[in-house]
Amino acid sequence: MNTDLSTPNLPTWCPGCGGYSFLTAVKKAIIKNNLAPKDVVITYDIGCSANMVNFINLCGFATLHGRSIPVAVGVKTANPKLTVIAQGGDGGIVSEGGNHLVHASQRNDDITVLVNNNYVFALTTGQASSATPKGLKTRTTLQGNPFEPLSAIDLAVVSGGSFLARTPVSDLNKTTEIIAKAIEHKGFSLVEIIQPCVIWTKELLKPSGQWVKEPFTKRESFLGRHDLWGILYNK
Amino acid sequence: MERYALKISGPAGAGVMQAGETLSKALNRLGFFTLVYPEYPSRIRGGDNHIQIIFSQKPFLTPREKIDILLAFGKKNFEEHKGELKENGLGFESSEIGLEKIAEEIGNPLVINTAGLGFLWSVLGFKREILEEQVNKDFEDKPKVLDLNLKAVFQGFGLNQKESFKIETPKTKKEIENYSGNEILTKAILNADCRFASIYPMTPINSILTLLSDREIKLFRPEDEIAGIMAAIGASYAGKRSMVATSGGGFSLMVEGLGLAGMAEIPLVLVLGQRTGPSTGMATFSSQADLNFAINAGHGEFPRIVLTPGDAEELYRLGLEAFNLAERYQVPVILMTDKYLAENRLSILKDVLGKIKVKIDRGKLAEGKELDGYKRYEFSLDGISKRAFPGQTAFITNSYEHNEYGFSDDDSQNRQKMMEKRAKKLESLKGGFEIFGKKGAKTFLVGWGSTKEILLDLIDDFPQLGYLHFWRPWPFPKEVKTILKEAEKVIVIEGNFSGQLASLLEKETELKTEKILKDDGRPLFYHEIRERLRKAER
Ligand SMILES: Cc1ncc(C[n+]2csc(CCOP(=O)(O)OP(=O)(O)O)c2C)c(N)n1
Ligand code: SF4
Ligand SMILES: [Mg+2]
Repeated sequence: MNTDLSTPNLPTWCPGCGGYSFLTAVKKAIIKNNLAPKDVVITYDIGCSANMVNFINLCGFATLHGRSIPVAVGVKTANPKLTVIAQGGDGGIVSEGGNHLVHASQRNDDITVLVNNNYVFALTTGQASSATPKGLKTRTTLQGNPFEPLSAIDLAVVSGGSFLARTPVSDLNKTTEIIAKAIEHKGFSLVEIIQPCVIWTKELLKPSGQWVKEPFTKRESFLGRHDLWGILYNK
Repeated sequence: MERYALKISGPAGAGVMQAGETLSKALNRLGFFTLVYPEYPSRIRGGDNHIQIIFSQKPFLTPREKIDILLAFGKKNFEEHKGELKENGLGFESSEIGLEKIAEEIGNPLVINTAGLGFLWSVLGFKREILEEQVNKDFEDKPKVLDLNLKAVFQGFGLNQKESFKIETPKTKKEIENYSGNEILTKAILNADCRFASIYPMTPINSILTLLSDREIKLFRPEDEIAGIMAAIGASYAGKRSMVATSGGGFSLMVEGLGLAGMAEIPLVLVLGQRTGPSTGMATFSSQADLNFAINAGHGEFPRIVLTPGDAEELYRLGLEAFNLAERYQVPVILMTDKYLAENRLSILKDVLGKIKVKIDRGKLAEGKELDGYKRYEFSLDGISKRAFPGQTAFITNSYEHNEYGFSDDDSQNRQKMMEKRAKKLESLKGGFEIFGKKGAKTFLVGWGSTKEILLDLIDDFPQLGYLHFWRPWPFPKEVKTILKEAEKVIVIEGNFSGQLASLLEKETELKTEKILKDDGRPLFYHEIRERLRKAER
């Protein structure tokens, strides 16, 4: 078995992009969980992070912008033996695909959603997304973003998701560990990967957060707390 | 051959639809072919629901503008329809003939429709026992209300004192089955071994959703039609035969998914039940205005198959075939029906459907050694690559242009070859149309989809006409040109405003056509089409 999971293609991300570290974390988590590449499906969104489809050797499916979740749900329903992961950026999962996020979470679909949050539509050159922090200047919010950001975790927690976690991509070990646990979880799991962009959201490159020691028991406890890292909920 | 037309009208909730089913099935027991055409507004209670039941000793029937017998539940409904009676037609209003009283005496307002059937049956001059047999069958598993309904039939039958119609009943005993279009399609879906369906409710495909519930199929009730088609694509990719069903509005949302299936080469069956558009249109009325849309939906160019069955048998056969075509060619297949075909009750000789056997063909699949160094989009002579499924080997599936392995690829030569590969897949398709009526006729009628029964009914009376029916207008079967170019006149008859098949036919064959069009939500009525044909023939 090909255990390094590499493909003939070298990543095309910008130097210093969090994508490299995310790719390594996903590979490590799959190896850690002892999964055969043929039994792992990752459905990808369209975006910078989604370009990973070409860089990891398993059953990768580049779907459409906003649609990695419903494709994953179909795959898992058709063949429950497969490990099924849906990838997407903040644009894909929260903006374009928000309805799918909320409903997969409501149904507690047995998939893992990995959200690479760089706070903007990066591949389309840095426009503000639904997840852009309030006040942040982007190419489409020259006076600063007027809106409070939407958070994938907040949306999932109010609609029913059973495993919710947030991790900065800069911490490779923690990110690997959390992704591995999310994959093992039965039911809907979501990991928000804080992955600021070296081109469009430079000012957010040093995220600060507080690691939680153990998951909360009440959903209300971490709703709106975007500074909390770790496994926030695990039911 | 004589055809009779009955109409039953009542407010929504009065059991008019059920009455149509029972009455037509009882007529089938006598050996008559039947067509039940329901018409109802988009509301759950009140208003005017009505059905037309046409019956005859011959198959293939058309709704009529003028009717022989009207039974209306309530004065308002009677007033609404009495003008449709033929000169010698008979009209009855429930309270006048005493149906409400019967229901009251029996103590259940719901039996009023069965009392009405009893009454109608005696007006028609048929033996009461036959209707009773059918009522027995319909209430088989509801013994509590069976007796009440039998009582209602008996008393309704007894109300009629007048001279009855004298209708000759069929001499030879035929066994006839009776299904709605959606029932037939559902049978095909299950017998084709489809294992995944995503359906968001929308008239006229709603009953497919209910009929598939609790059956041997994973039924996904998606949050919207976009999720619906995406999940079906995911399921097909994972190895299960899968489908979606929707109407124009939902199909509009699904278009990006159609392109994804085209590009990633994922087999998919999409049932498109047409109703009037644009936008919400007339939600419960039929139309044939989505042909252009089905053929052209999506950005970029990719192969697809559009099937347009027209009668019970063809609906079943193409319902089965659709899944084979999707998997053999790894393309989306759009199977079009409309409110008329989907919700009409059609009659068909027993065992006709049972005799249609379509062997399941899952197309080219990779196995054993072929999985080593597997290329999902390998070039081949016919453009079709072997499919593998997750769980067999690791491989890439892609909505971006891709190379043979599936990796994203912008190379110009690769792009050209991939476009050619995908286009090539459908080159070997054969057939797509059927010819009826006179060989070498001077005047040829041309239609597609649900007009088939109507036009077959018509040419029964006009044997000098030829008739060409398209059951697969796309890819367009070019051979039709050699047939139609011999005719002096080609008249395209379809249920849309602009003549969509006519335009396609003219473009593909460079022949001139005349058009008989109608898109007011109503079917082409028999006398109407005769009249318009006479004008067009002049
Ligand atoms: C339907 C549709 N709309 C828009 C686009 C253009 N598009 C490509 S990537 C992208 C933004 C991606 O943003 P995000 O999901 O946050 O991913 P990132 O690039 O930031 O990793 C957009 C809008 C598209 N491909 N499809
Ligand atoms: S633009 Fe940002 S997200 Fe995209 S590759 Fe470059 S660093 Fe990564
Ligand atoms: Mg982003």
